[in-house]
Amino acid sequence: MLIAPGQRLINSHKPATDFGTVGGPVRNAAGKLVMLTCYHCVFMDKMKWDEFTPNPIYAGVSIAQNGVFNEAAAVERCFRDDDVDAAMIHAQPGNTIDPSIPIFGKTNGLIALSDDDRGTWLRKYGATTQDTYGQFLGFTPMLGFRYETETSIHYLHNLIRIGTPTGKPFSEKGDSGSFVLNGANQVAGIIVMGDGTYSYAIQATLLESRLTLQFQI
Amino acid sequence: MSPDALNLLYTIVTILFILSMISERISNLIKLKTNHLKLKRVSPSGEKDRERGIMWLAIISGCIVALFSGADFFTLIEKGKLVTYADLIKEKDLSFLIPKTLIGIFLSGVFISLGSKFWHDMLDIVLQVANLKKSLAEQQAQAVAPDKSIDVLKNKLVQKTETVLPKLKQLKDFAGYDVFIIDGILTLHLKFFNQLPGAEEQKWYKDYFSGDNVEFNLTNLHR
Repeated sequence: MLIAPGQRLINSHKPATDFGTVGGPVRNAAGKLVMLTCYHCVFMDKMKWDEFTPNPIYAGVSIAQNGVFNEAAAVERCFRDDDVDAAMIHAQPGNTIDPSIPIFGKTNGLIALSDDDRGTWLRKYGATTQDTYGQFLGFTPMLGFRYETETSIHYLHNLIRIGTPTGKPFSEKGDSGSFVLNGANQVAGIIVMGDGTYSYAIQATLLESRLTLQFQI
Repeated sequence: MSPDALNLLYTIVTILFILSMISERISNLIKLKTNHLKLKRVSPSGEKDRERGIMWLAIISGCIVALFSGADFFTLIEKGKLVTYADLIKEKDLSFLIPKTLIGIFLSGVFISLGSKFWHDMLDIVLQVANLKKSLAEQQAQAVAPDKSIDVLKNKLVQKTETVLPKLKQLKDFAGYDVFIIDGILTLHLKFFNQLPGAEEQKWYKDYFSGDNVEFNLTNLHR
């Protein structure tokens, strides 16, 4: 099976309705091509995470192809703190990774957005809303959400806020994990949450440092 | 025109302005000592001859000033400076004697003879262009550069919010906060899932953030 950005993905032990998006390709610490998505997209409360290295029994990830989920990948490493919620998944034997994002093509490293970049046009390809375009509106200091079965709220800091001039959402439920790109296909971040008006993404620079990965493929 | 080119032009015009003032003084002195140039003629043809004489006097005076000051026009437009004979003689460089240099000195002489008023006006124009260019560059910089002061205010508001963050996190369903900048006005949005805090709690935070715009919002954040 070909694992491509924009496909629906889910922890194999979770209901198929609670899916996220295969974000895009990155290189792990060993230089191997893996896919990046959000931690909460592959999170499973029974995973018994040990320092974010998943229990192999619950690390299986199913990818949707033609509306049918098949286990084709596994969580390799994940990370969650005050800034980051992300996981790297690798292809299981017999499956391959397609690094090209539909419509946009291959990524071209990362871009560190700053306040000076407000107004920059961004785009993403997600499993729910496919290709959408929006503008970088600034950084959101702190927003949070509850993980499945958890009662406390996990807050993330310094999120990229994206809005659209039309008011149509840049991302919706299920788009989490999608790569947010600028016009030069540089990765600005990955979608982590949204509220119908704005979408929020984790900064690519933070992902690179926390997960020891490279966006330059 | 690049800033360097404008600076060079400014230097050339300034040098020619100063030299033209010196040349004018010299030609005036000669004119006052020469009767057929000093006194106006009655006949138009005679007056024409006098004017022609003054013109040639100005050119010759200009050329002499250019020669003694080392104002080779080609060196001026190339390097924006005068030829220093002493240095050239010291270095046994006699290139200033070549025809090109002499032509350059003659050209400078002709330009110097245009008079100090001409070069003063020219200097005014160059300065006006430089000022216009500077003001345009400043306007462009202001248009392109984002308003940094609003970011400073935003950071202050974020810091103020961080101070009471442990208290905010104790509020039921506190989802986080955001700072919006709309038309240069900052508004702090305190976001909540399902329900907003009670009136008393809202009042406490409104008092704490007095002077800042604060809104309490319900959010339907999804992951």
